[in-house]
Formats: sequence, C-alpha cells, structure tokens
Amino acid sequence: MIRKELVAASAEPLILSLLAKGESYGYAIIQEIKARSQNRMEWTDGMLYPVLHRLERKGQIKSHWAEAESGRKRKYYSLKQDGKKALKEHHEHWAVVHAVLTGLRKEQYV
Amino acid sequence: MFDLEQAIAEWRREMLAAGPETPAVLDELESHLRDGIARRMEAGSSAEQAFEAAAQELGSAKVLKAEFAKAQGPDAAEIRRWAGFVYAAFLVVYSLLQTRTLLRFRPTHEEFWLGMAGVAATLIAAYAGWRLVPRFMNLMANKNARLWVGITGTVSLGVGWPEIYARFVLERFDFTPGQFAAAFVWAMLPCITSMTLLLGVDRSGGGRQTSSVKTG
Repeated sequence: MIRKELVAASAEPLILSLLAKGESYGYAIIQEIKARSQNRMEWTDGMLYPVLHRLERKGQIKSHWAEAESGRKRKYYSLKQDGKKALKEHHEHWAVVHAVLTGLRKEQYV
Repeated sequence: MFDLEQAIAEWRREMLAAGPETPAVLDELESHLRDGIARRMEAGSSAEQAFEAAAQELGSAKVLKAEFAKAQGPDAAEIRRWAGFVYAAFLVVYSLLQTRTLLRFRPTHEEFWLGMAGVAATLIAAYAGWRLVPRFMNLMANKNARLWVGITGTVSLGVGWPEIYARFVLERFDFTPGQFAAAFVWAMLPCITSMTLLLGVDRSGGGRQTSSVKTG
C-alpha cells in the first residue's frame, strides 16, 4: 500500500489528469483511481471532495449539477484553462522527482 | 423493515449536526452515498448492507469535517482563527472596561452583581452568536445576501439600538448612578453580539443547493 503522505501529495495531479480526459463526478473519479492503482492507492471517499472543492476555488476546475441516466442529480467536474496549466506544472515537477529518484537508484547499482 | 430513504435522511441529519456544515456539500456527499449504495445493490447486497457499507466507506461526520477543514487551506483557516482570537481579546478587554466603569459609579451590592450578570450574559450571547450565525448564514445561497444581512444586522443593532436606548428608554427612568451603570451594561449586549453577524459571513462556507438530490 502506498504511503498516506504520497497519496495526499498526488491527489491534485491525479484528479486533474483524470479530468483532462473529460468531465467526471466524485464517485467515478474514486473508482477509476482505485482501479488504475489496483487498489494500492487508498483514497478515502471523504478525502476527495475537499480536494475537488479546493481545486475549484483555485479556478483550476469547474462544476455543474446535471441529471444522470438514473434520474439522480450529480455534480460533474471539468478542467479549466488554469487547470491545464497546473497539470503541466505537476507533470514537470513529478518528472523531476522521478528523474532524481531513478538516477539515485541507478547509482546504487554502479 | 429497513427503510433506505429514512436511513439516508438520518445519515444526512447526523452529517449536518456534526460534519461539513453546508447543505450544498451534503447534497454532493449524499449523491456519492447513493452511487455507492446502487453499485452494491446491483452486486447483490441488501439495501441495509449496501447503505452500511457505503456510509462507512464515505467516512464518519467527524472524519469528513476534519478532511474539509484541512483542505480549506492555511489562509482561510488562519483568517478564521485570527478573527476568533481578535474577537475573544476584544470581549476580554470589553468585560474589564465595563467592570471598571461599573465600579466607578459606586453601585450597591445588588447593582454591581446585576451589572456583572449583564457582562456574563453578553459573553454567553457572543459565544452563541459566534457558533450559530455561520449556520444561519448558510441558509442563504447568495453570498451578497449574506453580506447584506451581516452588514445591516451589525449596523442596525450596533448603531441603531444605542440610539433607541438613549432616546426612548433612558428618558423614561430616573436611574441612580449605580442603576444607570448596570442598565448600560445590559444595553450594550445587542451591540457586542451583533458583531458576530458580520464575522459569521466570512465563516459560512456557501449556500443551500436549491434542488436536493433525488433517489436513484
């Protein structure tokens, strides 16, 4: 299981990445993250919405209520222009971390 | 017989009492809960089992409240903490000044304690206002409406009430200095408490969703 701190730190870029594929809602986002990580990223359901609301306050995503096929209302989120920029930055930052970590790992085996 | 709608309504009441404060957030959490219930029922769980598991997965009211508090960011949390600190400090200074003023008027024993009861009542009302006003403000969806209520409430009680008191109440009584001082402490109660209306605007997180979430 991946450490809680890393899960929390990666929440924003993962949500932005998922929304870059198209609009989605809370339950679907959680299910997709769980499936993609094969349940190794333990996202608690309650943790997702505060992060979504924070991204919305920062102007990176937007939301609207719409009726789903079941007839129930759901709040859908989608990426805004600032969200795309933020996602690009996240990718750059994570790439740096990954490169440093990979480099150090290689050195261990030299 | 398990009633799913009743269980969800009860869950919602518990959340509203102890969890995230805004009904708009609750609408979204309820939608999530219903998605979880629907998925489990499709997989063969009973309504009761599905509800219990989905509610547990979503988290308790306390946990959700803590998660939302964390995500509000240091700025908002810090502003609120400072507003609370400044208001509390103001109340302490106000209480000390009122006590000193009361003693200067050389009140009788009864007048002094009547005045001190006024100070205590003001502190209790201020605390109650601090706690309850944000919940009241959340009933209004429009942020401008909340601000308008906060400003007009504070101004009318903070400025209007002393004017009414001075013009219409004081004139009707022939107070001794000690009685005047004690009555003044009580008269200030609405003014001091009214500040919580303005402070509560900032601490309310949003408005009620106009349409509630439907059953799936």
